[in-house]
Amino acid sequence: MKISRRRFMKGSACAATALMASPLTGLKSAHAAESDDYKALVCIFLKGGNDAYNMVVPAGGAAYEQYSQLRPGLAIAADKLIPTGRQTENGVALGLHPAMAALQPVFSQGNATIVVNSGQLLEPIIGKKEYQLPEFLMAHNHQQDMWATGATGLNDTLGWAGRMVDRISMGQSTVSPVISFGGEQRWLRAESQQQLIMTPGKVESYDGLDNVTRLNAIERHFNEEYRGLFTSSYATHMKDRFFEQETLKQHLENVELSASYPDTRLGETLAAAARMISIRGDLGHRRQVYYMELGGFDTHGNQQERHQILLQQLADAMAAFHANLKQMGLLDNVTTFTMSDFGRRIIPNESGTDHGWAGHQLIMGGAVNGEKACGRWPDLSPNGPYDSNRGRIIPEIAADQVNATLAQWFGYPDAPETLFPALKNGFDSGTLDFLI
Amino acid sequence: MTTVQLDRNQAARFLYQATFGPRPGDVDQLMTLGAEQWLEQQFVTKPQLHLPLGKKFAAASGQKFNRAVRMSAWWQRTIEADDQLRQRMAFALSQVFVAAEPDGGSTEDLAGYYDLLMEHAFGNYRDLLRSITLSPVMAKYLTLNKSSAANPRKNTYPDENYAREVMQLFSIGVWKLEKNGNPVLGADGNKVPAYTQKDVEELARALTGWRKGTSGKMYNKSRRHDNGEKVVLDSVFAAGQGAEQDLEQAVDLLFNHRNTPVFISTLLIKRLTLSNPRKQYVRRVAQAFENNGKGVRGDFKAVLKAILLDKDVLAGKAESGNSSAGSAAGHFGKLKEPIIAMVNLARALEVKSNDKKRWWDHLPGGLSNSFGQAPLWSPSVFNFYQSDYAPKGEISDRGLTSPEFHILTMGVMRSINDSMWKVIERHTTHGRNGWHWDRTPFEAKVDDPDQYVELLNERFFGGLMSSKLARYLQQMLEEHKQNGYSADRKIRDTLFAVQCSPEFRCQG
Repeated sequence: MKISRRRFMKGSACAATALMASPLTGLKSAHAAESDDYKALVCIFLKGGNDAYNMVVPAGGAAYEQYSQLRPGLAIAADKLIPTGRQTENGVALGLHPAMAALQPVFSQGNATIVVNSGQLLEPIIGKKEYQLPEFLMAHNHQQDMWATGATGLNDTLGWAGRMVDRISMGQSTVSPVISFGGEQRWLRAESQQQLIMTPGKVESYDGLDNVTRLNAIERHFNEEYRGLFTSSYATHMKDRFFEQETLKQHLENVELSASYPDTRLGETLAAAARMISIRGDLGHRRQVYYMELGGFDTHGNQQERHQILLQQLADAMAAFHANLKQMGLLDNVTTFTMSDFGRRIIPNESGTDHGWAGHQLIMGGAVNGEKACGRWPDLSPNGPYDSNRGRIIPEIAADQVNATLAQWFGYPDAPETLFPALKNGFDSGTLDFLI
Repeated sequence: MTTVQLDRNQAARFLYQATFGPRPGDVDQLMTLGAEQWLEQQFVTKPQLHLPLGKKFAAASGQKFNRAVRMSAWWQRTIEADDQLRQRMAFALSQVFVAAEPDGGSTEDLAGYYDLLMEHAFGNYRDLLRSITLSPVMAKYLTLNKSSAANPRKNTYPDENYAREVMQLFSIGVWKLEKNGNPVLGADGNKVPAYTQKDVEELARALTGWRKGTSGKMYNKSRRHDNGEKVVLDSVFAAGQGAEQDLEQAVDLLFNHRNTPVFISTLLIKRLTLSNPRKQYVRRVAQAFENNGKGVRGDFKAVLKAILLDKDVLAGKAESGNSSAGSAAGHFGKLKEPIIAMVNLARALEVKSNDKKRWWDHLPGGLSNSFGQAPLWSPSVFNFYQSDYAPKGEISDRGLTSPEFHILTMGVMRSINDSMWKVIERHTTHGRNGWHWDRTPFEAKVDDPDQYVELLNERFFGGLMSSKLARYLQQMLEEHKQNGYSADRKIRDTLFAVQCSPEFRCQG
């Protein structure tokens, strides 16, 4: 990469314009034809293990009675629940935690649903006496990795989204369409793409780069040959991050969002994603995948207070994002969904809950099948058919089925079991019907 | 005791591993003392604690003890304190025995927890493990506080949080390990779990009943303790032996577990010296953990000596990974953690606080927002990065690791640059909250490229600067001379080039 000094000396305001020289020109023509079938997947990872059984609660009846009896200190009063208008496949009407009122309109417009009682599975278990268990079920990092790679993928260095985008034409761009707001993610790790690793704050230029000597110096560091593995990898990393930064700064400078977002980390992050979605054409992105996370769900103690705050942050931010996408006319193009390490144990601790297994996930977007919730409400009774170990619930739907459904919607061209080999192990169907 | 003779390059590397970076004269002093003597001196240097200093800072400016105060104290200690090895070890321990704001308590409580790590930095692992288990900060962070025996009336169970993480992260790890750190493989060729969910549940029972008392210390409320028999990792905890005895037995069990020496040693090696230690090196350090030579297990002094003075470290050897053994030379070292690189810079410049009464966390965004890491500020108990993280590309292709890469996001790369540049640029005492440094030695030599570059080499690289970079900087100065540029410009431009050079941001 050659610096055009003259150009730099003339317009010294933006060092990068000079440094970047050519790569961006010519992009605009390339993207125009491709933006029509734009799609994005937006993953909100609820880090720490969301207590899904307090996020989604039976709206009444025997299922509610059972729930409230098992959780005397934690159960949410039935009359406080936010109605979703969704019933499970076995007829249990579902309500949301009262902190999630912001999502009610999204549900009533048919743009959100719930996948009930899903989690990591190597094969269907309910009704079987002998079965294989996934590794380290209750360990945060292993379970996070399983959501990222698929239930049988722990030894695969690539994530399922990464393997998915390797098979899809994502558009031509100097900036990766595989975008993480939570550091480099295994979920997004691909052969064909690097990850764009962002923070929600403003994208700004580097300080100190205001004369040509320093610009030359940093460029020298980018391109020098190093003997050490770390220095050479660092130089490449420095260079790539620098050019991403400068490219995005240029494109994001004049982007104004028409919607307002809650003043929370997740709100800011979804707003940042919306900005990136709005410049998809400039960037030449035909497809984008986003990862972001909301932390703090490991509610072993003081759960009532903490969970409420988290769920409110989640619902408010998702609702704002939804409203913004609607304004942008992109409801059908963007599907937002949650993941979490695991669900939590039905039977609580002193003031919180422990690591469990199955949970529920939220799915939002115009492509959602708003007719019903996906899946069956389980019998939560201790020693019942869904109980693996005193209150840790066995999933009926595999996380891999949920993820395969998302991948299929996004355009993954091959059979689901090529992405998630565990789906060959006796599941009725590789994909589910929560997206249309 | 064998005597290790360090040559100049080894001495410089040693100081980047054992301290927050050499200050002018440190390499000479180490060469004069010898490494063992230097270590002995460090072992007896009085701990420069963080909590009392934070209190002093807060009082000096009439503030509450807030996070910026805690971070200011961290800057002062790492930049100026003379107990450098202890400071460096405490920071390493804070990334193994992770607790963090806000879940661990107030920022002041966390400063106290940091000091607990400081106090045990040269002590014994068993004492440290026991102390953190009963630390109110840890008890809040991993919710051991108020964990109670199962209660059928309320339908509640013991909290498994601490029981799980103390095994997974603070002692034995998830897989059974060979003594060199390789996973044990079962008959089916698969790795073997070191514990089961049942072990977690049983250990959780053994640790029930602990409460934070009004004195701030943990005590056991015996009627909340589960007094039944437990079996953890095949060790029987006799019924009715009581909470104290259950605790001691649990600590002993983890302390004496065959995994613990190699598990903890590997984590410390990765924080101090190498991202990719050879198995022989790991084994030797684990041996020092198992026995310090006097029959004592868990002696951190012996572990530190073994980590810092190992023959692999002195010879510059590292794991070859998937590549052929011949090409492993370039695998030595690691990325500097971003805030360690920052302190390296501050120490090279010998920065001082403008405010005579205290230090301030004055960098753009503050310590906790700019570097992807900050002391006791991890997003979870899994630290800022996992110790086996490998970025995509050459490092993972070779089967090697580089944990620190995980936090170098687009924004963090910029703010490291901006923070370093701010310290370089603001060298005067202008601005109460700032830091200043003395430019006179640089001004005195800047018109003599050879001498000046040699000064940069000593200050910023301990003498390890590559000849390529030296030549580049000399050329820069020659060109500036021809252009008639000022000394000010020469100093700024060269220091800019130094701070963002990969060889300054990495540790050899």
